[in-house]
Amino acid sequence: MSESAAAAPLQHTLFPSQSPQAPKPSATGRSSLWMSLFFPRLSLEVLDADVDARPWAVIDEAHGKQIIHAASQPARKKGVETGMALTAAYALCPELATEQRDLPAEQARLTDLADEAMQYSSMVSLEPQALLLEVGASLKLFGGLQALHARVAGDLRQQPYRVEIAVAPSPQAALLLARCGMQACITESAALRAELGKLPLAVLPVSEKQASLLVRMGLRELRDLWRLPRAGLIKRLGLEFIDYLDRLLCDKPELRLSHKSAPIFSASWHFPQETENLTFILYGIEQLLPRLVHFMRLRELALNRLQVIFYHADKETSCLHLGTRQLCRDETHLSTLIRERFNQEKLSAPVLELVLLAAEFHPAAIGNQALFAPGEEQDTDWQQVLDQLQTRLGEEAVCHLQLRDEHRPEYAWAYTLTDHAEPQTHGLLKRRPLWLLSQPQRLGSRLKEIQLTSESERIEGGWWDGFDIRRDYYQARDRHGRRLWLFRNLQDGAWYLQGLFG
Amino acid sequence: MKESLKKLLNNNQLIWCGERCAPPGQGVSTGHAALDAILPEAGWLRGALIEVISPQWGIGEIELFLPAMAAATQANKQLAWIAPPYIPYPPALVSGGISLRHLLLLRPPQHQEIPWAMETVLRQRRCAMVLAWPGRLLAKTVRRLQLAAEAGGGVGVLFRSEHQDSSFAATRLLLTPGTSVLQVTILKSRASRGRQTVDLALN
Repeated sequence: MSESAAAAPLQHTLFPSQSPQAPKPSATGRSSLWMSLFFPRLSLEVLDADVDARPWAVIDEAHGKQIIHAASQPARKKGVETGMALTAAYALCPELATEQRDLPAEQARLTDLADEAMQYSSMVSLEPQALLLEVGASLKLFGGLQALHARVAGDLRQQPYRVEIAVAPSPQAALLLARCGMQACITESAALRAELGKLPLAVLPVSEKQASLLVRMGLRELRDLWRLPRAGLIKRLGLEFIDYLDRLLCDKPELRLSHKSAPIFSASWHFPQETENLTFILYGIEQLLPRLVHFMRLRELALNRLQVIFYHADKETSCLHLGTRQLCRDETHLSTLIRERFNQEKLSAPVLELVLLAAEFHPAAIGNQALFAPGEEQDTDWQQVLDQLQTRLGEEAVCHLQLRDEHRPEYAWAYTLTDHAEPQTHGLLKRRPLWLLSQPQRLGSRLKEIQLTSESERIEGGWWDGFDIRRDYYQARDRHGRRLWLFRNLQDGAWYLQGLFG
Repeated sequence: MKESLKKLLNNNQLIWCGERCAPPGQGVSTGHAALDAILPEAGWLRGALIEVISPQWGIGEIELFLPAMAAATQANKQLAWIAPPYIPYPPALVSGGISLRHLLLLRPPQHQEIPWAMETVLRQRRCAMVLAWPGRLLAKTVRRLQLAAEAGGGVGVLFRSEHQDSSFAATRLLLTPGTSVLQVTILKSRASRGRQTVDLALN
């Protein structure tokens, strides 16, 4: 998308000498103006590879076929284009390196960029591969559109992303212009028809059926659409399409969801002098905790991870990580957990300053309290006890057991950290022991003291994951009266003890 | 006996008044009729500690408590097992009627943490039974645990290998394996009728 070619016809609207006048003041007394930042190469830029060193392409799936989503400059030179089938691309460029499109990574980068963009506008909205900023309200602060545009472009130049910037009175128009690579800057909605009219119809986000219909109707550019009667267009292309055109041309307002940056809580407490005294340190933490709880309450949030960072005079900072099993915003509970942790861990050095940091919040699900059922309350008490146990004994030490659908005894169970595993039943007819040994023990000479008390039970199979077994299981009794669960490994003929009937 | 005196004796846990005065049927049924018959409250005492003594494990010691544990989980109560010597095997637990959701397994990395963990869990009303394999314990720690059980109202079970002459636990059992039976000897119980032995048939 060369800048000169696309921008030349719009030269007269780029940054008019006077500050833009609102042609049609809205209810708030000003017209809105949207700036769209489109990142055409985002899918390539999120890759770790140096994409311009050799032919690279990001592939996406459409209609069950692998197609090229974006191609790097060397690949484009060989003729690889967006929308091309992967096989066709390989035919043109056999050395093409490909990568599947990483949508979550793209979304994460876009969210980061949206956080950055919050400095230019209080209303930032996310679109696929693009951001929309409402800049009408920011013009005064930044000294006019030209200054703001220059600042955004300058800041984005620091980032490793290609970006197309367009400004228009309607969000859809700004988006469309940016997607076409037009560095346009339209400030009046009256000028929209004229400017957008020059665009080819192929740029409209319509379905394939609608696109072919538009071609068959003999339409080439958007201006051809302006000339057609509205009723006929509705009949042919549907109400949704007309609605889009209305929003494009500012005839209909558009509501947009505003991006909200992820909340982070950080508060610090300075001590007048270095201290190792736990009473002072806990006092400091307890002064900060109400602020954290208030922060969460205002935003209807709760946390399950919390950090306390300690700054020392001449040592590296140290950190205390705290976790709860369930979302929590209870001040006394957090305070108890922190105290419990301090019983376990000693400070590495005297503390000068401490910071309470929470970066991971979740929407709080504070349910209604039952009027007559005291059971609910007990449940939160129980969760708090589990937190306390976990804080003191470690995360691994507090667990639950889980049943697995598996015929090999050692794989038929697992530890889990939560108790939300669905209660499963199993179809075993044979008896199983209550105790299982973590590893089967080979029975050497002890075998003589053992008396088998049951018929054999054959358990075999497992070639599909490489842990093939072939065993005959028996119940037995040893000299001490212990009731054993043994097996004879048919692969090597040896006897092993695997469980006890406790 | 006067009505008010009877009321006082029946309602006050602190007054020990022998076999006849013990309020009947307050215990947790063991699920073994023969054992219920000789235990003073027709089952495991609530809010008390049971000490189980056996030189080795794998003789049916879990099966002894399995019916009571299954009944507790079905009543939506919690169980806690602390530092078991082997892995409690879920297929057998589920066959025994225990819902795994209600079974909390604690594996403290250090032995010294076991009494603390047990005390914490015992104090919870939510927890019906706590089974622990604590290794060596001081007599005063057993006393603490007994008090915690009284506060929480659950049943605490201590599995111990060494035989000591006395303990603060409310009930003490000695387990001896026999052929296809488990011999349970009651060494001590409230309202003691002396040493009594019962043979429980095992599956």
